[in-house]
Amino acid sequence: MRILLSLALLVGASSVFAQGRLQAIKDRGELRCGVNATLTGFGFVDADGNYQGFDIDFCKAIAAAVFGDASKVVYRPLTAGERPTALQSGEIDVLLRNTTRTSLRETDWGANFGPTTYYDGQGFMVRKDSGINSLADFEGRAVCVQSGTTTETNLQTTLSGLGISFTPVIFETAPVLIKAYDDGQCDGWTTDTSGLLSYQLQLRQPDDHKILPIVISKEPLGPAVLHGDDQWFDVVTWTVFALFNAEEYGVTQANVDDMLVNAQDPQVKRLLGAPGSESYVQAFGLRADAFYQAIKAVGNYGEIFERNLGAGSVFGLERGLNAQYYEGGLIYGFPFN
Amino acid sequence: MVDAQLRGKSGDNVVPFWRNVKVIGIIAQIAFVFAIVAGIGVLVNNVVTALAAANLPADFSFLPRPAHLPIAERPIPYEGTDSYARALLIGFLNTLKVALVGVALATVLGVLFGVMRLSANWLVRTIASVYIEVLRNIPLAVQIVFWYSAILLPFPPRISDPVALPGGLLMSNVGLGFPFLYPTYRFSAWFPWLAAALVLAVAALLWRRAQLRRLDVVGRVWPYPLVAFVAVAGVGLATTYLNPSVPPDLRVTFEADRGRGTTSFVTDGQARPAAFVPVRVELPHATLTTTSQNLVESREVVSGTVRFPLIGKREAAAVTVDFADPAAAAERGLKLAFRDFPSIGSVYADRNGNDRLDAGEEIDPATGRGYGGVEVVMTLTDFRRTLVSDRDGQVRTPLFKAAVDAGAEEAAATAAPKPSGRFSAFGQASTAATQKESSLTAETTILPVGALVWSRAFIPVANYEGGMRLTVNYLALLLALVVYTSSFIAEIVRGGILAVPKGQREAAQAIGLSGYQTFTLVVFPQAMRIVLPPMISQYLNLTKNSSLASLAGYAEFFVIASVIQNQTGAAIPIALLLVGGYLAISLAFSVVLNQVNARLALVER
Repeated sequence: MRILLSLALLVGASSVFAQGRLQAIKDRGELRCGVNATLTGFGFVDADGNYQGFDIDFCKAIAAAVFGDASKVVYRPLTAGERPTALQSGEIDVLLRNTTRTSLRETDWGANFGPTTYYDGQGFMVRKDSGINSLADFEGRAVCVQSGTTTETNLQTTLSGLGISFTPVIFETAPVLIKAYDDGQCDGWTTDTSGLLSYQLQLRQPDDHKILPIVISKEPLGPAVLHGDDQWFDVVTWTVFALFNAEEYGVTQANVDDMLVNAQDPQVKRLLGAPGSESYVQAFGLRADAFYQAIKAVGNYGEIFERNLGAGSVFGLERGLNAQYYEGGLIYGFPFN
Repeated sequence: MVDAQLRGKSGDNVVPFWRNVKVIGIIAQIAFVFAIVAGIGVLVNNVVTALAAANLPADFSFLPRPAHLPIAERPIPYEGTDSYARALLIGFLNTLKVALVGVALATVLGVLFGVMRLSANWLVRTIASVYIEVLRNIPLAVQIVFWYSAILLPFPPRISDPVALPGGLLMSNVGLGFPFLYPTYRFSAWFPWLAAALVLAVAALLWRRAQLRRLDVVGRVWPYPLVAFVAVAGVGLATTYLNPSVPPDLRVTFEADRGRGTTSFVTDGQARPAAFVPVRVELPHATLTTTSQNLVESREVVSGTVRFPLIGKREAAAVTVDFADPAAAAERGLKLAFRDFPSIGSVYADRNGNDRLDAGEEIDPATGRGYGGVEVVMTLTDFRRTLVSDRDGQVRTPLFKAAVDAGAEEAAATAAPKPSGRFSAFGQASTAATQKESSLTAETTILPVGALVWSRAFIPVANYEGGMRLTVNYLALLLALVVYTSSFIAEIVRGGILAVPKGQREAAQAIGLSGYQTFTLVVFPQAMRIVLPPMISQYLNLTKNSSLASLAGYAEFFVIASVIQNQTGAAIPIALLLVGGYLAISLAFSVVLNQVNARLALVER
């Protein structure tokens, strides 16, 4: 019994890399990306069996930066509860599963979070006719929530802080939760606003439901890697910054080839690794054209947003906090210098 | 010659220790133990090093930190600020709750079907065979999802439309509520009587046994001990009801805007919740507002449905229901029809003018949907209801409002500031609370009570209050575990019965026992001895299988541990706690049942 246990522990913690993770990924020939498989818009499997979504595009961008080929990604679908173990055990190289950056996740999980790719907040969905218009109306009612997330902690802290006594119903996976809510076991359910929008489409009568104009938390979502490998952390961080900057400099999927050759702006040349500016990108341990490849594969940040969540999608989300800083948002690409 | 040789060998030449079997055995065992210890040492060291290198927590320092976990089913009091350790304890108790009840029910059901399978009646036998073969061949996870999604969730919705069974049982898609006897704050007054009754009963039992043994009579054992117990305990219980005064420090405070009250003992300004206190709520004149809804609920389209919490006939002297804005409703030609006055009805347009809801009239031809979003008001006169506070001292009523004139209410609503701020949930909710302040003036009286109080389940807002509540999540898991395990127990019981030698049956018949007597006095007791060891395995299986609870959303040990693991990242300490917890349950089961087995086992001479 004890031997089996120890063996199990050993297997769980065996993948400690002697060499750097970047080199290990290059040797392996594929990037392992921990993703969501059921959240339309962020990470889901489409009708053809391909992974699609906002987070998925960042996986592709990182793979393109490392290999020059966005298809060299192995997606690991994870539930919320599986995330920390998958990251800690080294099973995945990067976690891109609508994961909120929190202090405890940095300290307890041992995760390093890259730049925030989506500024979200926790909201509530209720039936339009339920008579629930504020948090106080949840008194004596049932609220469905998914386990293994920051959501349940926020729910408990906020509602009990207001002296509202409610009945929580906890589910491990979102699809079961959606069904229970749809069947009327809960008066409302809560998760990040983006998730509410995404899952609303799966309800039998989406129009009968509304999202309350209340946001009870800050949920900055972004990529996470494991503590202790600064080089790999830099690669993930600066690939995201490269996509932020590309939008700011007007580099798009369509014009990036042209920009690589003809751009005059030294910032753009450094970003794309145009001849004469190699050291800026190669210092990460990547090829000079790494970020050119990333932009070529998925487009800049704005294009990723619009394609998956914005005007080009069923959600039609406004950029809001996720607009560039010069347009009043919080997206701010740090300089390549 | 031979003798001398033998003596010479054993006497003069001592066998060297490497050829002595005993010594070799001891050395081999020491070496084996050493190898195992070293092996474990290497593994543990490896894990500790690897965890340290990956910066992972490998200790239990997270346990005392506040958990902030919402847990609905809690056998012991729990708040969001309580520790991870307490949250885990609640999960553990929830596992016990499903395991113990499950074991008892699975045994009953299993024995029943096991015996049925051996019946001489073809129909009974076939039913049992089909039951067993179908259920033990479907994976448990599938059965849990089936019970949860296909059987329990499609029950009627909670408010006003639950299936009301005789005896105060309410079944809806949130679960089962039924009346229950709870011990009150005066239970301690009964306790000495209970203890005395127990002592008396045990003494009577021992005396009776001694008598029977001395006389060597196999007679019917008269239930003297039971009679003595019931008599003394009953007298004690009655005396607790003889002194009907309410303690001066017991209070009830009512937050009218939430329809929620708290019963508590207040000493020196410190409030301590008082559990299970009956409180009478009286309202001379109150209103209750609701909005008609168009919903797909429990897979049925309901159009323009109006729902109010259940109001009993004796609770309100007069009930009237009308539109909040009768003029506007009349203009649209809308009327109200009730299926179950006043709790459930529909808004419809009386197009043919016969003052009755005819098929199709609940649908608005302009939109093709029901008349949703119409405000309806119920007015009650002389409402009176007795509530029993729960374990946390909470009582809840429907969200009544005082009946005031519409003009004043409108002015108050427009004067209140509009909620604002994106990240300021707290500010917004407090604004909403001020708006509703002093909307109800209820007369609340604490009723005197004895050692026990009868608490009834009802639905004041959207969920059961009072009585005992079993959630659908718990029921789904329990039913799946019971039904699944009972199919295995049935086969064990059948095997045990078949293993009793035929001669026993024939001998019983020879001394003139009837078929029923043969089974209950001869065959079944012997079969029990055979079936107990494999039964213990099934009990342990049931306990461990409860860890599939997350499929039905039930907060048991494994589910809560997984949530905590996700929050803290402490995978290995949590895994160790899980192993320890399940081991503790399993070993406790084994110890108790092995004792029973040892007592029952056939002593062969």
